[in-house]
Amino acid sequence: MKNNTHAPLLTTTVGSFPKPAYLLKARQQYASGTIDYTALHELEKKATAEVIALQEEIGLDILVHGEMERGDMATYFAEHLEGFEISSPVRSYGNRYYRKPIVKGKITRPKPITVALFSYTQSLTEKPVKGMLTGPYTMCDWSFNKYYRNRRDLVMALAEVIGAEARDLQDAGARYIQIDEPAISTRPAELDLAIEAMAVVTAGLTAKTISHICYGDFAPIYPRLLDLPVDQFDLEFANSDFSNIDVFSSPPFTKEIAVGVIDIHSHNLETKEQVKQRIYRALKAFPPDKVYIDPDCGLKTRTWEETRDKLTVMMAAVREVRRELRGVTHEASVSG
Amino acid sequence: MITTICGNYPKIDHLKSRVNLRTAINRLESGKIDHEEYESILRQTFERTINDQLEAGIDIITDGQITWQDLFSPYCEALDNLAAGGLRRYFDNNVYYRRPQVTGEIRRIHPIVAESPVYSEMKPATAMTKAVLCGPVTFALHADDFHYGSIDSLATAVAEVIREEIVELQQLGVSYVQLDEPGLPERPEYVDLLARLVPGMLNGTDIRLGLAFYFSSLKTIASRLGEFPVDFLALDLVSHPDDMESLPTLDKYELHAGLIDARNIMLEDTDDVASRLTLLRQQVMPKRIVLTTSCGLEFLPRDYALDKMRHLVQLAAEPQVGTDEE
Repeated sequence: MKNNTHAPLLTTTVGSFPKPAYLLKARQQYASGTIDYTALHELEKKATAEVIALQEEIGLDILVHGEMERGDMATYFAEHLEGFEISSPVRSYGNRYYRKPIVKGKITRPKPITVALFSYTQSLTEKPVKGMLTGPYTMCDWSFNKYYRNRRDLVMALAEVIGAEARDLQDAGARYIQIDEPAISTRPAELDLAIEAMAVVTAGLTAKTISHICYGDFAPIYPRLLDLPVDQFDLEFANSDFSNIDVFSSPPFTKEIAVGVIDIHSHNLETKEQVKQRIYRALKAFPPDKVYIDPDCGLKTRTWEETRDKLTVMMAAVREVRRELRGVTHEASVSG
Repeated sequence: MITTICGNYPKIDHLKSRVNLRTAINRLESGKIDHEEYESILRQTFERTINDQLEAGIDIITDGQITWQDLFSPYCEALDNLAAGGLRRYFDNNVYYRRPQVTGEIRRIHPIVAESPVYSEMKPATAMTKAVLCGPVTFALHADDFHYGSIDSLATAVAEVIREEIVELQQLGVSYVQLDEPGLPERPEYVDLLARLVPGMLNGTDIRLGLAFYFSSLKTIASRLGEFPVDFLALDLVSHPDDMESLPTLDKYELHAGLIDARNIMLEDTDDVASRLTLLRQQVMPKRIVLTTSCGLEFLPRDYALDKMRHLVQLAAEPQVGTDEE
């Protein structure tokens, strides 16, 4: 392995954190009309501050605001864009449901959606906070379309409004902007469309751009995936026991990569040694100076305690690997 | 023309006032309700699923797969040496399944789907019933196999437990058994294997056995669709509309024509459905056509699923779609 000393292994998380009980209750009260938005939003800010405090306590490098204001990653944006209605719940897996957006008119963005809470969150910490968006291809794929002529028209309309939001985030000071595209592996034949749309979203951005993708089959879309115009991919590996990592060996991966080393769909707490092995596996597969470390996906399905424990183990493993890399004392693990 | 739905149906209601299975599961897991209360809510969910189909006028009903986590979970719950593993995307959907982990010889330790009340105490007098199972090849293609060592061996083992299940389903008086094989069009090299496994699964029973293909294009297996010794084929004819052109004559089968898009809230145009049915009669010449959904209805919210089902029945009754006598 080369350039071990240039492997800072910056740490981050994918986006969502578990909502505290008081916020879950407030969201129910708001939905039933017993509290107003001001009251709800104060509690969202309180919970956001707790998410930041937890990440700083654990020692993560690049922070997220935790998405305390969001239910589902597609539905939230649909609720704040013109042209959408929201359906009753549809199942995504197990006992998890989301309210699927329905496109019923021309999509427009009346005002910035995420900027105010981003600015508030960034004011709480010296560390960089990621601006968090859902990509146009995923927004299309996870919605019913009753208005646009075809999927392409819908995706490109979404790219315009999400791109505007990305530029507003950058103007508000975001140094990292994550545009999640978990649906991108769904239809390999539409990868070119997803790439074209992402180019609209990231055009003119100087902030580091990231795209999170998870639980898909990467083989049919690699290496064309590397043409997605973002600086970094954030991919899930732990849940599949790294069975999907070999896909990226040929041709070599050329972008930065945030490697999921924590299974967020399991209650089981990983051991530090387990996580270290996963990190070393990632360092063997990807250019070490381009590797970031994080959990597989958003943490909203875990409890607060599980989240704290899993991230603490992850950070302990990262610190130990960093030390070992500086001393280059772990060559056996790397080559094994 | 008679009607059916492909398989699953939304588990939870669009009406907030109604009993909600999703909430019941959460409350059971957190100890806020006991198993008896959960069973009561589950039973109400089954009743509503049956009633929705009957009130819409569906002729061959399913149990809606109300207790299923995904296509593979009934096996994971009913078979020894099988467990649910990591999440994977379910074909081209925003839906995920847990990949089955095969750790030893699989054995049927209790019924896979035959315990559903829809086939026993809730069985309606006015409609036929259809039981749905994941087919052996699709199961084998979507499992992590740490025991059998080949798709052929694992699929053969799954076919054996399906055989046991079919015997029980026939004893219960189930009219149709549908084996879902959405994975086969992606791996057409296993057509021979599936065709070879079917007689063993039937094993002399006279239940109406069929195969369902959905999501992926049928073109890869179209020319070989006539090779399966089954009674009916259920085909998704909307996900890839030009698949219709590739279909051969299939005059030995009852065709469950999936012309109602179960992944789209838009309602189908009567003339369009009628012209496609005419084309099927002329080109495919099946023994009989049963109008059905392209796949399970659980991709839709319940209110839209109900609208789709009602629309399906209305279309089947329209004079211009024609009739099919058995």
